[in-house]
Amino acid sequence: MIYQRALAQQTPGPALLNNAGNHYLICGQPEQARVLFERLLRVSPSHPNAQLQLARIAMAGEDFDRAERLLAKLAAAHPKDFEVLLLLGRAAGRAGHVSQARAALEAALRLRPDDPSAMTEAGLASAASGDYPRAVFLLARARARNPKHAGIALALARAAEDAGFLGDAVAAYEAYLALQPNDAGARRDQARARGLTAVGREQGARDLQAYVKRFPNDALGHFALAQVVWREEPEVALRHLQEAVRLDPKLAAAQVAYGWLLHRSGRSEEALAPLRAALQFEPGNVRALDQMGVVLLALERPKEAEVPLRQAMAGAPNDPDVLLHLGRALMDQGRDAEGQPYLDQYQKLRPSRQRDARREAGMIELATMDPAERRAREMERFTAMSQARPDDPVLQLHLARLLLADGQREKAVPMLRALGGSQEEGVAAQATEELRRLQASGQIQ
Amino acid sequence: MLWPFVFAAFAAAPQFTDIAADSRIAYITDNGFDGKRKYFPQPLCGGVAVLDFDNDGKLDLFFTNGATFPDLKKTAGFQHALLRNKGDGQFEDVTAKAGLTGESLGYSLGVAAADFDNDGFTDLFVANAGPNTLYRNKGDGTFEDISAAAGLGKPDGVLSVQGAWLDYNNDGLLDLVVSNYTVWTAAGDRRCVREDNVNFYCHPKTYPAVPHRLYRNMGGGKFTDVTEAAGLGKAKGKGMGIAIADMNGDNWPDIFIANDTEPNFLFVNRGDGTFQERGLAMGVAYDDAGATVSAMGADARDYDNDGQPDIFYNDLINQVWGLFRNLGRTFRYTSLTTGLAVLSTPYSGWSAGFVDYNNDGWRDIYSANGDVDNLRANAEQHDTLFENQAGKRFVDVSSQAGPHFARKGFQRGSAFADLNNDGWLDIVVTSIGRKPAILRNSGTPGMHFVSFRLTGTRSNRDAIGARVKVTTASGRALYDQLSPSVGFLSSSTKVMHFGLGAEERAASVEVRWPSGAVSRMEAPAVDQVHALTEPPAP
Repeated sequence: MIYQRALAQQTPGPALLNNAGNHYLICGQPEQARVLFERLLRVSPSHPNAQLQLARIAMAGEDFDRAERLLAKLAAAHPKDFEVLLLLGRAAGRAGHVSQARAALEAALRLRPDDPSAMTEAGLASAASGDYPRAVFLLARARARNPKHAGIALALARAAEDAGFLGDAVAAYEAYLALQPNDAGARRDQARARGLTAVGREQGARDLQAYVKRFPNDALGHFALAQVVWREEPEVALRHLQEAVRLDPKLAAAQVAYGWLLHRSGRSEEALAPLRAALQFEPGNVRALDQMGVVLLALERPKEAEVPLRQAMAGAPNDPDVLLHLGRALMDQGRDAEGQPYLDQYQKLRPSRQRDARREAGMIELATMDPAERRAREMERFTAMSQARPDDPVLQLHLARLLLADGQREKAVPMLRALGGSQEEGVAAQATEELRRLQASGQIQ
Repeated sequence: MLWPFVFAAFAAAPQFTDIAADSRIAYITDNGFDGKRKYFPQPLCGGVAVLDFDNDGKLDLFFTNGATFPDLKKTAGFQHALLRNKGDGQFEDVTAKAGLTGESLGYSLGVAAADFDNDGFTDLFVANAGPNTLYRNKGDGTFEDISAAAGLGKPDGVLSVQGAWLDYNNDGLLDLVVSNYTVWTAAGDRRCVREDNVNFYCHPKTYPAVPHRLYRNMGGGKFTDVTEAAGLGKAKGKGMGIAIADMNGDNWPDIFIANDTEPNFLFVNRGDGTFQERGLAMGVAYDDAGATVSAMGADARDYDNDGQPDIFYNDLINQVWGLFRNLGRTFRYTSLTTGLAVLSTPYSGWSAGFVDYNNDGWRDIYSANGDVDNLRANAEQHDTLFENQAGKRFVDVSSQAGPHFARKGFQRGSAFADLNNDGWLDIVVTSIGRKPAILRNSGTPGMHFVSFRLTGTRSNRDAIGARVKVTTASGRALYDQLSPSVGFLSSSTKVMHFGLGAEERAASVEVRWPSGAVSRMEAPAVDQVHALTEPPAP
């Protein structure tokens, strides 16, 4: 009543508007609060509390774009305000602006490196942007601080799987399932991750077979089983993919996989239907467009192949597969001058087929250690691995870098010099760059 | 005239019978593995060549062999073998008499047989871990090692895998291209050990790629290394099989080299003594996912009878064997559309080739299989025979082709030839730790063939590079180009073989010789080998 009377004055001041807005918020009346904070912003456009509270109200109303706009202004004025950065990261993430979210959350983490909320949010944003190794690192640390939080545990498992740390993913799903034992979907995904490991294929396939018996109408179950068994049992995989897309025709990833496996099985004409279905639901799906191009090329229809490949190129101009296939489609039509630049670009961008040195289980454990402990453990692990596998220059390079970081230059430099002559794509260049950096800093001659 | 076709369709498939046991063969492919320490070249062992070294009209066999490690000595048991075909299904070991034991060579890999000096006798090139070797056939049943003066040197430590003869400049003298794998010495061999202390063969990435080499035949037993001048020196690979053919129809032989874990090379002959590497541009460098594979054996022949040589390579388990259909200017990857992907994924293939095993006029694919290492549960594998169905699809007929195709082992080299002159292509295959298999093809009644033994006059005497077109009475056209470089480590027959199916007549044969001369023969009798000689200059 006091605030109502005060506000009835003709020109309430900023302090009154602010206090009244806060009051209404506390009383659970956000709409009244919003009106007051809006008035306050008209009087004082940079008022920090008004911006902050309006952003919170917008987030509560799921207007994440507005929240992000308000918080971005606030963060620009207060770049060291952890709360603001954290909120901005959340808002941007939920608005689908992944890179802005990551930037804000990484800035928040620089202010408070051990804050579990910031770690979790930054981990989720990293996963959303496809930087799965960073996501695993952050989420693993967040989980170590909050081991009973099921959401973090599940996010970590999914990020680990997407990062290709399949052994870690299996373990992370296990930890999550200890908290949520009735989550059948997570159990299914754990089985898929296990099935994709070198040693767990049979177990994963068995678990997924049991799963699809129990949940025969879960399209994802059939899709997961097909992903695990396609190499050894392509016909079985085809049946499950067919069932997956029957149950959920909008599951574009399964449609693409079905088309791909039909083509691989020599049924290229049939492969076109699921690829068209995928594109019906997701017209810009680069993988579907690219695979459509590949199948049409194989069917000796390069002119037709060019159409989806051009569309794929528009969506992903630096995708190596699309570059290669579009180049091929043009070359096959005798348009060498047009095709060759795509092939040249493909050569430049061709992803290295080298094995990731960090795919073994142990990533999550490492992420939870302090830096010194982590480095010591990594050196121990990589020394053993590189002795066991002297054929793997990626391992050697990683070990050399760890030694350098640990100040063991006398051991690292000969390794880097040897790696300078490696044939592994990228390794020689990286080793040479390390040596150049050492030379430039006068650490070696 | 319907009945022959009906008969052919229902005829039993040809059976392969191993006749090696009928002869006294001491040779065993021995890669020097002692059961513990593994050395990098050991999986690459057991080359085989088919040649008529004594010109008696019966094709003989030559096998290369490994050596002890780490000293690379060809002590007893590691020697090469020359087996003379007696013509009665038996072979006689004449290695020592011929001077081909190879005891000074160390570890040997591939062999390439051809008459490099145009004297009418087939010579032998042997690729080694150490210096390579050229044996000149003296014509009296013996060979002399002329390597020292021949000019076939290579950089120190280069591990050569295979040689292939071709006349790249069409001067009538056979030149030599050699696929090299890496720089390797026994002293510098990397040891790869699992956590349970078991040795395994190191990944190819352990070793650097190197250029392949081209040697120009200058005549008089002399060669010049033209690797750099010809444009092969910049492309570094890990070379395995070599296939030679005129891929783009410009009358100059091109060179395909299958590389292990590196992009494959297609050196296109520019006709001026130089080559351009165009593997990526022509679509054979990678598979259709842009991946490199462990490409092993290679062959270039026309599998779809469209007149253009196609390319095939095999590779390791869980990869897909590569089949590339020649469109004239580029190649299309057809491993998937032909069903080869599904058929080949379980196998690690080494030597391989297009071979029309059933004389139906469609070239089938044979592969000698067995994993690189002996560590997997399915490391020992049986060979495979994939039947070509009208150039569209391949189906696995291995289980119907005889007991050999159920026998598991570590097969490596293989060569194809009609060893008993019965009109059916036989197969010879080596297997690590075993005697070779000599697989006699039983054939199928009612199927016909026609073959040609070519002799060049203006061209190289072996007529390597000649292009032959056979037109059957029904108008069906069959094509081939003469190159004995087939598969991996090996050298096949120079007799050009065409299955005719049930057709009992051929309308014509046309030979385009490397010199550019053209010969034509009307209505060649079928079920015969015809000797054709290049016409003299007009």
